[in-house]
Amino acid sequence: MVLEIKARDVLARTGSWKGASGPEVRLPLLLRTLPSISRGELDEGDEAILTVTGPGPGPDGVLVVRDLGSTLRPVHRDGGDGKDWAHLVIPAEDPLPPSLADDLDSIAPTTVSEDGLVEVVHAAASRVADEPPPPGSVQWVVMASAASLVGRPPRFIDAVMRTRERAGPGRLLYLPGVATPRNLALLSYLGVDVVDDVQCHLEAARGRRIRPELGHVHRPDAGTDGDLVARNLSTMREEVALVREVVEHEALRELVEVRVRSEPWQVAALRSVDRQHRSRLLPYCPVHRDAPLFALSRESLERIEVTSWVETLMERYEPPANTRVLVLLPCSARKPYGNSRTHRRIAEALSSVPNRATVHEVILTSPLGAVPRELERTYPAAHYDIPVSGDWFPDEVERMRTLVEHIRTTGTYDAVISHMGPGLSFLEEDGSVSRSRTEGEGALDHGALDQLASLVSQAASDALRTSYRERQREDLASLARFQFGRDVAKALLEGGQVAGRPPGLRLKGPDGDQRAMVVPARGRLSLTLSGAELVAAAGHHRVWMDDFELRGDLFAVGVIDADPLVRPGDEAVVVRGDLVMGVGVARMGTPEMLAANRGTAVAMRHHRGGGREGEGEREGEGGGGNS
Amino acid sequence: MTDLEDWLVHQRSRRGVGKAKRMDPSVPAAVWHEEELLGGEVVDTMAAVVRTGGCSHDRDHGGCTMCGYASETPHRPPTEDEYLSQVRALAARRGDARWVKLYTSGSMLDPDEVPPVVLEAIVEAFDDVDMLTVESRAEHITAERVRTLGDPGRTEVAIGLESACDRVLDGSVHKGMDLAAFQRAAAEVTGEGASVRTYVLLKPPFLTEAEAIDDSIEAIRAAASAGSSVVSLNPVNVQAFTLVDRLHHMREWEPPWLWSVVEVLQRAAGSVPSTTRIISAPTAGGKVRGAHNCGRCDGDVLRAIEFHRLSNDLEELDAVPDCGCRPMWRSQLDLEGLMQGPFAPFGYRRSSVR
Repeated sequence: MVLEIKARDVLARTGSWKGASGPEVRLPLLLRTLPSISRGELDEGDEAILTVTGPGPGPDGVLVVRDLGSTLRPVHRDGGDGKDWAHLVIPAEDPLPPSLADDLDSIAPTTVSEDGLVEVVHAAASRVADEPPPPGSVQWVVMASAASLVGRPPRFIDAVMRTRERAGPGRLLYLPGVATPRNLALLSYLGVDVVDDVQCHLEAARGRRIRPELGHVHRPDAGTDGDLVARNLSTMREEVALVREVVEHEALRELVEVRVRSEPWQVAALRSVDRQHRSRLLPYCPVHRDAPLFALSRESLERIEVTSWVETLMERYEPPANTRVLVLLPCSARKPYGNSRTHRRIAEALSSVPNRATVHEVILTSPLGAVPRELERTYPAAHYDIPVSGDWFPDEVERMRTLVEHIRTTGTYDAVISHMGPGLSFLEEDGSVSRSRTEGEGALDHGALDQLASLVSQAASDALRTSYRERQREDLASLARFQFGRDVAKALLEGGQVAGRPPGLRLKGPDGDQRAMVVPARGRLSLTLSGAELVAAAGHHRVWMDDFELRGDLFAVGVIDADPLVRPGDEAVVVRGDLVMGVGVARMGTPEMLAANRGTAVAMRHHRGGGREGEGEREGEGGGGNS
Repeated sequence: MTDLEDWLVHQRSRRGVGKAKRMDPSVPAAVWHEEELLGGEVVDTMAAVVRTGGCSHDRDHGGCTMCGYASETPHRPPTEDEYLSQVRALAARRGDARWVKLYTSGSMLDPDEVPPVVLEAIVEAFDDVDMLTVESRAEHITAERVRTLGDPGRTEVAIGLESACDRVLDGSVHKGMDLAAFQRAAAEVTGEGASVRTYVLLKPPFLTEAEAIDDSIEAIRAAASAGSSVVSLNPVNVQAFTLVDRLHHMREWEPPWLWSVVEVLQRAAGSVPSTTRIISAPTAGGKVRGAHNCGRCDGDVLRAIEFHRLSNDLEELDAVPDCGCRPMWRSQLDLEGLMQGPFAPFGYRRSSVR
């Protein structure tokens, strides 16, 4: 079997799959149910046939999946067990409705087809989670009772997420009878690879036109009554194509937040994913993207890219050492903030401040809460966009308050100056915070800017003096803490000095050997071999390769182990035994590296002793190969 | 390890004791009159549920998954005097009935449930009817006990076969009986010259609508070939304190469509000898807890099923007017099996926009 992933977006993926027999198909895959279609109508490779009794062998180029029903009345009709003409067979399983799943523990929660390729899982049974993953030959995992769990969002999500984890990245997950053009984006976001057209037919039979935007408006257009099946199917196929496209643009979450609004259960389900299953999403969530992040709904506050920003700050952040004056600034539409007109005007106003290196700027915003100036190029700080209305929701304010409190308590500030507009009572009611704007004053009004400069000047001139070089080193240390955690950052910075001009700072060891540099376009540190040695010695970000000579990129098949929670986009130090063999950028997270047999695990930047090192600052593009 | 029987036994312990205490063991659980087809003639019939000590299968094994009659069992078995008082009450309410059907919450032919002396009194009280029907589980039926029912020419023993598939009997109905046990019992009855009336379920739990239709037709054929003179199709309805009740409450099972009832009656008729009459009188028909359609055509379809029951004429079923919900039923038949679990959306057939 060959599972070739083309694009990933957290748990969602596009690509292709080819089984032991039958043609290759594209993911996500839409199964078309017989007998309601004529075969000529199928998009070869895009769709497959799902059938019970079956027509016998399918036309060349179309995958045929056969379902054998349940053990109570297994299907024996026409063509025996279907092995001769179906490429995949869904085995007859013991029926087990979700409400009895934990009561009747005499019933096996999983059933594997005779050929070992397809497993049906009663995911509502909590004992499924405790079981070992299915044997290696299983290629498709089918979640039973998925359609009837849809009305109970937390249970549905729990069952899907557990089944997804059980299947692992190397197998396809099929949710039968659930998909509609409305929920396809959400299903894909949960990591569902295979869906079917059952609901398209059922809705058509009750006279409903499925509209992806709205779940309760479904009257057919006048005169189209007879075509409802065809129309629903065509909408479904458009949505499959759309999902493929947005996954490839890493914009699936934006589509999900639009589509879930078509039905209340979907919004509840999405909230359940965001709140209850972060740890299952996190290993698949990239640390960097080039794509923008649109935070346009309440759910955006909870999306994994955003909450992991907030949590990383809460767990790892401490302000650059020796900063004594905290300045809180409003955000700008243009990113990074420093390139915006607003922030350039503010920078001008502060340019004459004495002892400027002791001033620490933190931008307050939503949904990220707070962005320290030294992290403003880091994803998603430089990528997000929000509707600007001038007022905040309470949970947005609460997030800002929490982060400001964290920054203040981990820092050593003598003064806090707020240049924020109205609506932030936690600042307005805090006597220790000076305010540079009066009621009704804009951030760029002359009076406000003058007042800001004067308050900051006064506070900074009273503070201990700090050099620019020293401050640059501390900014780089702060980025290192955000990216690698406090322990690794400490090891990496030990005895190091900075060189270069911001934002392209370089970190050098005492002998002048470069350890890392800031890549301005990504707001992240990239490691050299000597930096990688320090990170590996600190016990983080290691990926163990098998015993072979590494040339070019490290493929997943060559990975034998990895430190927990290496995420896509993270720096990855490739080690063999105890020896660092090179460093690059992880293309997949830890669980996928360990499970997958194909695809690049680490796009290498530097190899030990290899001639490739001379190629300089290669930004981890794909290419090359394992020997 | 909990299996279906453990579940049913546990569920049984949760049935209300208070209600059982309020039941009067000297009064029948229910008595009603209905019409029946006897020798080509529609006759007045009295049907009654005798209050007894309860079903042996329910007591020992937790009962069947769809059967709620056990909750009609009083907290103690009636005394002999109380039984005789029930017999007197039944005789008094017979009226002009020429056919008397006596059910219990279990088996009339189980001597532990209904004392033989009581059965004798019953047979004596109704020795002048044209037909006497008594109900029993198969394992309690012997030729000897059939003989105690009097003239075999006017005796009918009603047996629940439910399904002819042993896997369904065990894993869905939990009948505690296999097809062979039914065939043996039917042979005992017909061997004595008495008639067999067989009950067949439509859509016990865990079957899809399409599987259920096939299963019922198969069972009707098996009942016919075992010599049943009447096969009565019972669409499963929701009875209190049953597994079916739980599944229905959890939106994981729905009663069959009335279209399925029609389908089974039509398709089965073609494959059994005309000496076997196939009928249905759906309990709670047209209601959400019984066999139902979309709500607009239920009355018409139920009327047709009733006309067919009393005329044995298939044309009554062919004459049912079509309805917009019929394609929905068809779609469910085609697609439900592919869902790998309970049919969804629940309540599909009562929420169409047409």
